[in-house]
Amino acid sequence: MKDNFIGILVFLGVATGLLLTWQFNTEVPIEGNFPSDEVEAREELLKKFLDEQSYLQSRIVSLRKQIEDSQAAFEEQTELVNLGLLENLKTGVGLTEVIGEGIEIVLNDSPLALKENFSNDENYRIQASDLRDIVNILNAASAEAISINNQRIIATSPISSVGTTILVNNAHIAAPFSVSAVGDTNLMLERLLNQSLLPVIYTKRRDAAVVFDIFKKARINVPIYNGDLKVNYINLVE
Amino acid sequence: MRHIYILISASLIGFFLIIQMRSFEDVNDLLLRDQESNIFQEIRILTEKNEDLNAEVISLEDTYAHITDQNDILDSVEDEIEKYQKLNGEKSIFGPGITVKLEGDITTPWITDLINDFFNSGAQAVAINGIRITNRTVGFDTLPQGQILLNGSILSAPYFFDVIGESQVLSDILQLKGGIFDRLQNNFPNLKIEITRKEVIQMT
Repeated sequence: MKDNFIGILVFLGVATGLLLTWQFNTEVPIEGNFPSDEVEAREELLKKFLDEQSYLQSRIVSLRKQIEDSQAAFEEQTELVNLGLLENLKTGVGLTEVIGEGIEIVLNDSPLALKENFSNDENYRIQASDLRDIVNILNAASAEAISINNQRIIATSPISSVGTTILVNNAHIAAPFSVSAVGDTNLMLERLLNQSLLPVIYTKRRDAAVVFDIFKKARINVPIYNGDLKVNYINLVE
Repeated sequence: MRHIYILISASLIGFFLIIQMRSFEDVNDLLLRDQESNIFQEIRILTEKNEDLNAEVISLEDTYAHITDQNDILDSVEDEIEKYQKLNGEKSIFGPGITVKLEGDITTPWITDLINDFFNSGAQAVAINGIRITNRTVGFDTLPQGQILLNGSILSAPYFFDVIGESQVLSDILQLKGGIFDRLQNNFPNLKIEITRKEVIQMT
């Protein structure tokens, strides 16, 4: 009887400690219907930045084309302009469109990620690190050109995350993700189907129903790089 | 009296259990390959990105506006050739930056993560153990014994990363709390990381 009483006391004590600590550590969400509500404000701010980003990227592509056309017009009149070399260099750094046979990879968050219990669980979402791993595999398989959601990937392209948002070339992209690659299809496929090279993605696909599908395509278009190219700290050795 | 002590002790146990469970969440963040961050960082990144894009637009508009005769065309072509030669890795380059030395075991995914963070922090050129990262050399392979292969060369520890860019900014960002160096250290406790700022770094 006495032991039972002590047991009950211990249980009550632990339960009280748990409840008290949980209560004091829980933040009560503040609800509000005004436009200044945090989620709406974030969405509006992000939309403004993304619209501006979209415009600037289009403007960059358009200006590069105009400059290229002007240079080509003068090439017809003179042999002094070394446009052949320029064209090769631009291809080398990702400033020309690449078309050819290749692979398309489709990735998407697990349907379970929509549920409240799993919404913040990184195992149910495609992470920036998953995209980096795939890009690395494709590069190691000598892919000629790669893009993610029509963002051309070059050597200096950062693929990162901010919270649950993924940024490629610091441009906001959202699931589903489409990774396109032009190159030796068989070599790229061989690497992508090797589960030991992509253990995390294959585990997520098996255990969390994350979408990871690979398609061979006869024609893939990888667009030109539409970001900035900074070289102000770099000097050529003469 | 004894019963009161039991009650108090049991309450304290419950209290400490919750504290410990909450601390696991913080540890988990440092084991992830991607950094957890917030709306303010997201806005900062987008603001900086848009400023960079704007600067590129202004530069291109200036180039286009000055293409009025043959000499301007020749100058613009030569400027572009020089710019892309700095990027494509065919010519040797130099500039200020930092050197990062990693001594110890590390896996290929974390090497790619580190290089990604260099470029994300504003690096303009990166080399690892003397091999420059360009569009032609950028894929890392992991061999069956765990060695890291890049451009046909096996990379061995210690790993030396040369990074050209604004050295103070690079150094500050990489060493931020919760940043890539913190996450590397948490995932590879025996890894030694040294960072040195340099006035001149050369890459072939």
